[in-house]
Amino acid sequence: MTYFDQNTLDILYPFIRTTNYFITGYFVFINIVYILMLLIAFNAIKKYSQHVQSLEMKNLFLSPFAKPISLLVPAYNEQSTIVGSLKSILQLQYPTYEIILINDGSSDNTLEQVLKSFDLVRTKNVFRNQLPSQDIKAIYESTTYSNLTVVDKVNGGKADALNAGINISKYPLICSLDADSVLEPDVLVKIVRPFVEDHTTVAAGGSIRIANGCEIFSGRVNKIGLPKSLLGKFQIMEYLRAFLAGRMAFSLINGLIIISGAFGIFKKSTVVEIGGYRAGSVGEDMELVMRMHARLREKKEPYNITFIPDPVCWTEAPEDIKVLGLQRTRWQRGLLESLLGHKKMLFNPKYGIVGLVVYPFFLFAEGFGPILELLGFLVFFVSWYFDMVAYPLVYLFILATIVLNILLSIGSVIFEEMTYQRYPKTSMIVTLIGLSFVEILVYRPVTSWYRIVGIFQYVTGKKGGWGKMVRKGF
Amino acid sequence: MDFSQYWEHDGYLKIDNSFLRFINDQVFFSFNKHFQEYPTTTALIFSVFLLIGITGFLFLYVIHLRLKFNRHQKLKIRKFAIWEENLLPLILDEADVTTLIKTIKKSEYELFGEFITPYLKDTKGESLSRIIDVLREIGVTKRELHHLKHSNSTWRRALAVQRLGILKDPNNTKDITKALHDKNITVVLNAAGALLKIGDRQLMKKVVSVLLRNEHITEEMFAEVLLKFERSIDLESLLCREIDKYPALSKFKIINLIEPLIKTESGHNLIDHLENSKKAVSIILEDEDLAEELLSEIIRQCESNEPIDLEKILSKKEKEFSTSSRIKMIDFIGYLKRVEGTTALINLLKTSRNDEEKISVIKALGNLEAEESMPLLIDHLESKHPVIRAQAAKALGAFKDERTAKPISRLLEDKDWWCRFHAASSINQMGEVGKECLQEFLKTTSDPFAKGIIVQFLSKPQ
Repeated sequence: MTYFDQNTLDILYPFIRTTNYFITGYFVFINIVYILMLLIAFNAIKKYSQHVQSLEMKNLFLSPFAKPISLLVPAYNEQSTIVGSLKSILQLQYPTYEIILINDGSSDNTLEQVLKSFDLVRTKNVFRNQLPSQDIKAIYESTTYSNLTVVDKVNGGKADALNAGINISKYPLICSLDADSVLEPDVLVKIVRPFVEDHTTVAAGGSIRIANGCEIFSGRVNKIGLPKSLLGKFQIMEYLRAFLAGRMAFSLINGLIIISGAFGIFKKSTVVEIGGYRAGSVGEDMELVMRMHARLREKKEPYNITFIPDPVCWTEAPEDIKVLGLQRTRWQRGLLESLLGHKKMLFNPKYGIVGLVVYPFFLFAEGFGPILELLGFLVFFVSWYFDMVAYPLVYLFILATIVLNILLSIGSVIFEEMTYQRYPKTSMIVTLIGLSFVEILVYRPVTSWYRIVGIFQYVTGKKGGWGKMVRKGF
Repeated sequence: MDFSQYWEHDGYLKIDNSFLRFINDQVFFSFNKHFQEYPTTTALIFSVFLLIGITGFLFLYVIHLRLKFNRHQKLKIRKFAIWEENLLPLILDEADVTTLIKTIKKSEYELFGEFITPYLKDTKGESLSRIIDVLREIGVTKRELHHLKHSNSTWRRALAVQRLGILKDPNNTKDITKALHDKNITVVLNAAGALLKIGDRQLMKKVVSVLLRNEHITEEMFAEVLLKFERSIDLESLLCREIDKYPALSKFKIINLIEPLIKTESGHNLIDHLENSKKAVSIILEDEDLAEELLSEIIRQCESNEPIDLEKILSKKEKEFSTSSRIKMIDFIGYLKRVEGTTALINLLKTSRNDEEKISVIKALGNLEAEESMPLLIDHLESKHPVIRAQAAKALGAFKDERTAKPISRLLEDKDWWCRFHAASSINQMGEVGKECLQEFLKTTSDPFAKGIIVQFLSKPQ
């Protein structure tokens, strides 16, 4: 490089070398953790399957001894899917449950669709204002389904709608659901098990799968398939990895800090005690779980927050890159908001494994990981420009990244094959594994970019869109 | 054995074969040379190739799992068809066990277990004995007993005792009873369930006692085990419902259907059920066509049948049965509507100092709807504990007795939401009188919260 004097290069070289060491160290550390998580999850899933096989609970869940559940379904402009979703929820196999649909000031015909389809009449129900929420305009009850209540309220966001639902709910367990989800009929029976077996359980999350490509009829998944688009298929692998490996591993060490808002069950008294969902928060589901950990550890109360790998909630994933981008930027904002809202937990032994291991891991790997990835790329381009690249090492680094990604993906597919085998055709499994070869090169950069945008939005305080899909409906 | 002879002084293998020598030089030597020259790069290359190797292996493993699953499914369909064909003659006593045994290979025992489980659940009497004989012959019983006694894996012991329960072989009772004292709760629960499935009524007391003494067993898990016992009377409870429904037309047929069951374990359960269904018992007893023998058998069983001595358990001192254990029992008495437990429950409500226990008793009394508990429940509407007040109002609602409307209505102005809710709900359940009471109260009260809850119930869609 003749355009730069030696002094510039002398200054630049130590910087690039240090950054390279740092990025490589981060890469090695993060992948060791992921592989460890995979191994832990493997053991956990095996033990869980054995436990479920060895202890039947069929009778309990046909009797009134089963804890009754209030299912909270917040809906905002869900006119195309809401009736199908409610039909699916009404078919659930569980002795006692109520469904509370909260219409969060939809501007489309969500409420009208529901009123028409389920014979709803307006009631003058009073309720306990245990948690703050926007005004409730009306409460409706179905004359056909005695366990269906519809709440029409002023728009206040998902967290606010869930708080309103908690105020209306009657039962000790609350289950938050997305209005566009389809549940498997025995999902409640499975997810309530931790609450039955261990009374210190305060929350449990279930597995979420992508419904795109599946044949859904009358609120039930009839035939499982893969989405047509590549984007949809990539998300299947991503969800498998996140749910079967990631959450299972954190659950085993009682360090689960994310329970998906699309399907999670909570002990109502604990949720009310900590003040319910935080209205206005982007990642209300994660924020709630973080607060649960914080409060219960501060009180030194024994508690259990767990993940159950087999209850399956099917949800529609975005197959449009723009919508995916909006979704991912929102998720990243939510993640950072939840983590940085509980800074006191970072490396604080008072919060046990959550403060010392899980929180730092999420903050550095999930929260700021994309920034490090970007830094890696920038340093590479700078090094390339200044002719400082050790090409064999770069090739090796890329190769190692690809191989590790494939390894983690195949690991998740093995879990799926050893346990649930929901994808019926061998060709589907081969397709999924095949895609993991290119995922790191095609899909990962895209999602990383949107996560960086999410970080930028969080830092600048800019609000992005919600990432609302135009639902195709089930 | 001395291996040093195969090593050169420089640390490389001493191999004369030219091909191996070539490998040694080209791979080991060059690797060592490269490693010494470029340690980082060589280590990285090595790691990446190792990862590629592992990934390739895992990929093949996934495919292997899928192919194995597909093969298993095909085998399952084929073998199930063969076994089904051979099982029917065995159940009908038209063939002996060897015909079926010949079709089962040693490697297919697990699969056969999967096949036979539903039959074991649904079959009784001689047919069941014949199936048990098959399983005994092929060594399934022995194997499961071995696992129960000697396996270090908790899961395997739990599974073994669960399977022994499905086998319902009374010869295994002794070993299963020992498992009631296992360190692991899952094994204990499965042992209890297995004993109840085998249906030895003498063991019922022991099982209940062991479960109640174990503090780690939650109410729900306790219920699950006892419900296993209750679930085995599904057919009978259905028959009793039929009697209730069609007394004039079907009772004779139904009683005839019940008759063969009387001397079996299900018959015992039936009698329990009939005992609790006064209407069904009266229909049976009033039936002129009822065989004398059957009648006397029912009466004898009713008199001698005392599976759980409720009074005894509930009157135990706290040291012998903890509050949480008693609560489990109380919940179950309420659920099963064991009216014979009413006096014990009333006494417990009068003497108990534990609020949680009181709440549980009140719930159970509400389920039992025993009139003699009404005055005591009305007294508890004045309790200082809001949950006790609310539960008392709810329990009284179950009686649908107009006399309780006035005392309950006092809770409509209670400061606790649940008290107001259950008070309004209970009064509303009393029909027209209840509605009138609520309307009257609405006119007189100035409490906005009371008004709100009353309006809610009065406007409920019918």
